[in-house]
Amino acid sequence: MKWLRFAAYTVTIMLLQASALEMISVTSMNIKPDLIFISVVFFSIYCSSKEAIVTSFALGLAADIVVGSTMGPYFISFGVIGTLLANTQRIISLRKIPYQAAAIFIGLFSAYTLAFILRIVQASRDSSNLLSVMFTTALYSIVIGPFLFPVIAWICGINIRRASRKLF
Amino acid sequence: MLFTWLLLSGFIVLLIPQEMTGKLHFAFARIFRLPLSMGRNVTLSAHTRYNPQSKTDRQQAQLQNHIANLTEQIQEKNRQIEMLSGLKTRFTWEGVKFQLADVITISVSGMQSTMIINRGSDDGIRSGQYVLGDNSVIGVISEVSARNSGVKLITDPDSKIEVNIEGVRINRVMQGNGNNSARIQHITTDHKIGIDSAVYAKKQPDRIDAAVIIGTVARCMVNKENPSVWEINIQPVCDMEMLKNVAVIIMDP
Repeated sequence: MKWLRFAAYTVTIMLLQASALEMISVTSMNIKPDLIFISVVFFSIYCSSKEAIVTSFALGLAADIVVGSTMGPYFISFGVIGTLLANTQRIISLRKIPYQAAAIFIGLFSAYTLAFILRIVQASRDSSNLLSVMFTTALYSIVIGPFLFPVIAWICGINIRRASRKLF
Repeated sequence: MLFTWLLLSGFIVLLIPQEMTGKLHFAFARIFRLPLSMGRNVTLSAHTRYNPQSKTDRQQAQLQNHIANLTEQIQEKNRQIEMLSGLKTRFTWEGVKFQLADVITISVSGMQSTMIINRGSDDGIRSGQYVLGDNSVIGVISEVSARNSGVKLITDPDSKIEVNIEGVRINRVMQGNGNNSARIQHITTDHKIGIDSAVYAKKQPDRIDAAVIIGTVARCMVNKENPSVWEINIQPVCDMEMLKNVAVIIMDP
């Protein structure tokens, strides 16, 4: 893992997620794909377990800074889900696009749910739109997620054609 | 082991008061202000290209909001004259400072609707102050740092603002829906609510000097769970995503 490239990449997607991505938002709820979580899935699939844990938590912190209401929920949820995905790689190889799409969809749904529960720890929140937001964001993310993977690999200098399953 | 330590630090961060951790968010907005503004400008220009609402339409909306505010102020003054005939009262907005601020980022989604502006406690901004955009109330200051502030927009699910509807002289709390709209509950069905009626943020001595338009009634239906009350949907009168600058109301500066 080239950490300097990873840091530059993280800052870039934070800026995109916070501003320019509004351009492709859909519905009145401004649903847009979650680039940060797509990256969590990418690094969990293509990096070693240790790197996957560090990148998942780091990207979770980035998501907390971008969202801005409470620090911690995305740090924990993205970290936990990213680590789980990295460990899933020991059993199932997530190298095919349908599996990657499923990982993004299920992972994003779980991460958002966990983040929402953690946000309740600090303040009570209205959950009326939660399900529709999660579903639409997950759906939007899987449409573009797997196709972004080669781009992320190129930016961060990761070879995505290596062994298909993590053993350690 | 690494996972356990990171998870533990996550829970520690979660328990740190929001006032302290919020500074990180403001620092991000301040450091990357230029690229964030560029990204926002790209979004705005893209929206303008596909949005049929022209500049003239927007100016017309601003003027309509201004007329609605003045009408409400005249009615309020008439009521005061009737009640206090002969007693002196000061003009609306006299002694009130409007702090203009640029919008750095705006995040409008189903789960939250917030905005970051480039004015903070150094400029007299305090938590709870009302924020105006296109002559209408768009939100309330929720977080403040020295040079930046966070605005909780009226459509945020956590936003609760006391309002009254045109023609209905009772105050109710308007809560954001997240769905780029807000709702008012607990108004009994014996009150007549017209579609497109103006909704005003209630005058509050320490926050807002006069009732200011906040939205219009988009839909009014009988509440399914409690048929004796209305379920009123409010549409903001301002396109908040198109705003480049706002004004914060500072009472008694």
